[in-house]
Amino acid sequence: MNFLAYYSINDLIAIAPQLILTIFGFIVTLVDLWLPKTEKSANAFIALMGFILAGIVSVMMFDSGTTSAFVGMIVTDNASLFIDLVIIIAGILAIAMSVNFVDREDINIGEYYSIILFSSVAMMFFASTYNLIVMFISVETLSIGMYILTGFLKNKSESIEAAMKYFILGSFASGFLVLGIGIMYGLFGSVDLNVISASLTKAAAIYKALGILAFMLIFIAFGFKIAAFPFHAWTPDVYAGAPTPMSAFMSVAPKAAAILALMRLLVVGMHPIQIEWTQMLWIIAAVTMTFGNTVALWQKDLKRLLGYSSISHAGYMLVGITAANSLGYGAVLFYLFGYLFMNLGAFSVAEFISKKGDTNTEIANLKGIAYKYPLIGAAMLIFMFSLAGVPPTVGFIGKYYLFSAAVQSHLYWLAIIGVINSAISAYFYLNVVVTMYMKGDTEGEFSILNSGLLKTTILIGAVGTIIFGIFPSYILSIALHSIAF
Amino acid sequence: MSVEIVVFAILALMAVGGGFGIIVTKNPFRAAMWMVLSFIGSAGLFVMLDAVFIAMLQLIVYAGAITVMIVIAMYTMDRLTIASLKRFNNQAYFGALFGIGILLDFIVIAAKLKINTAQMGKNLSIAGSNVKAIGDVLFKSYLLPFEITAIVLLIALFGAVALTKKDL
Repeated sequence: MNFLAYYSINDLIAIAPQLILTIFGFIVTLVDLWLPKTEKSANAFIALMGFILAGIVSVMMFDSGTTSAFVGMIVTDNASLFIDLVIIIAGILAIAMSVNFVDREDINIGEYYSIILFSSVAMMFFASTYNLIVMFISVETLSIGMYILTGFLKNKSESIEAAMKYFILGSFASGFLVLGIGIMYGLFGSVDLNVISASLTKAAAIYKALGILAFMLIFIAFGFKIAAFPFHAWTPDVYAGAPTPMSAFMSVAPKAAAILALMRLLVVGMHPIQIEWTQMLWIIAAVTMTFGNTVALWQKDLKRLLGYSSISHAGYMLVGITAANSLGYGAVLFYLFGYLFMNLGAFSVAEFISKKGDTNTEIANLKGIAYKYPLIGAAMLIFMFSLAGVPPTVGFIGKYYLFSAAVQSHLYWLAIIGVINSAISAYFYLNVVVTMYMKGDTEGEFSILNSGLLKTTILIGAVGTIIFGIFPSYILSIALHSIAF
Repeated sequence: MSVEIVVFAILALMAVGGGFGIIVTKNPFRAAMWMVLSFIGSAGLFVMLDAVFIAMLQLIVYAGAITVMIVIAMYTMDRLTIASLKRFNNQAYFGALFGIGILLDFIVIAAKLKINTAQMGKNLSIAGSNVKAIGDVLFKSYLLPFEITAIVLLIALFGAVALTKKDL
């Protein structure tokens, strides 16, 4: 057996956070079998332990250099550990949001948590590889997890409809991804982005053109995952239909993984055709921002509004990638970190005002909530200000660096479009605040999800949004130094 | 006429004849059986090309699993519904045109490239068995993606149970 000639214990150490989450996923699955129906919340506790342990390990692994494992399939560097941490924090907050929610909706089964854990594993693999095959398999794994979690509210027809739509559109996107990878492999004989990049540099014009075609096919799948403009159609339906904690989770975690994977694809794999992809991304970023923000102006439902807002935020992040300089890449990572707190917080408030059946999340239902629950109101104010990009929140700092990266690369028009979009977005974000504070009838009865863990999530979100807005330098320097390419 | 050509003729007849059987027969269950014949014929062709592993996959996955799935799907349907189904819809002509186009394509390619029948299958035969070669690739360089597929299957299984079972 010459197995040890290929693999050693170092390979397993390089994927330690993923391994821990996988193990805890199995523990949840097994322990769930012996738990009585009333004690199912223990699953959430085990899943939380898994996420916390994986978080500690990935913090410990930070700054230990770039390791390549599994014969070059996996690359563990600071950027992937940073995204691991974003996914882990999103997972922790999403589980904290879930505990009382799944109880109320009567979907409290162990599979809910084990699917969260397993799809987080796939997201981490997705963010830490230069190999297109690993990318394909992990994107499939995380997508299947997300389809299932979207449809978890079996009694709510919107949830099932959203899952079905997501599944069908997602399968199309996967088809394009496979086709792109196939053409790439046919052209250059490899699925490793470093090899593809080297071959693409020397390729004749016709092969380069075919390479661009293959890249565009692959980009469709990535654009679908991050909800960029022509591939965004699923986002509002899925975010509005899915269980609220899962809308929150999938608005951050898969997006974070896909953004880093996209950066690896563009910056490392497609480096020889950088001129072409920056032109393409310029248009997509501008249209994505504008589309998300303008359509959001007419939204009545808070979750749907956050869906469109997440499209526009994908556009802001694409600005950082279009800038194609290290400031832009670092700013994207930082923005993801900030987006995690503000978006999960905003979804927590949407969950706070929801009724059984995950309904009643209209913006109008926030009327007067700031007087009845002043702290929740204040927290929502912070989230909305941060999403709109008002200082001193993390949203402002993130956007500032994204747009200054664009200016640094002389993309003045893109930066201007971005700033105009921020101004447009202020209208609908502040509309939420106005509804909370100024359309008061404080007499109205609120039906809320009264959960200590949910309130803690809102608190963590608000504190994170403010703290990293006032003191961004620590995370920002980590984000800027994480980028290895 | 060597033995090889005789065997090839028989297998090719099974593959093509099975395909014709599928579209000609009126009974969908018989069509499924014709499909098995077609699969077995093409599995035989793979064996002639020294692609033993693909031949086995063809038998196990297609002739075994997929046919069984189709037949079971038919059992769950109402017999009268099946009998009243129209076998060809308005788009059948487009399908036929597409098929004829691809057939002509293959003929042109085969004529142009002057396929050397003496060399047939030589590229596929690898030193040792090709099961070993595939195993080498799967468990040496592609071990990690192979392991992640285990998680895909597990998640899909969970989802199938969690989404369809009434009260868990």
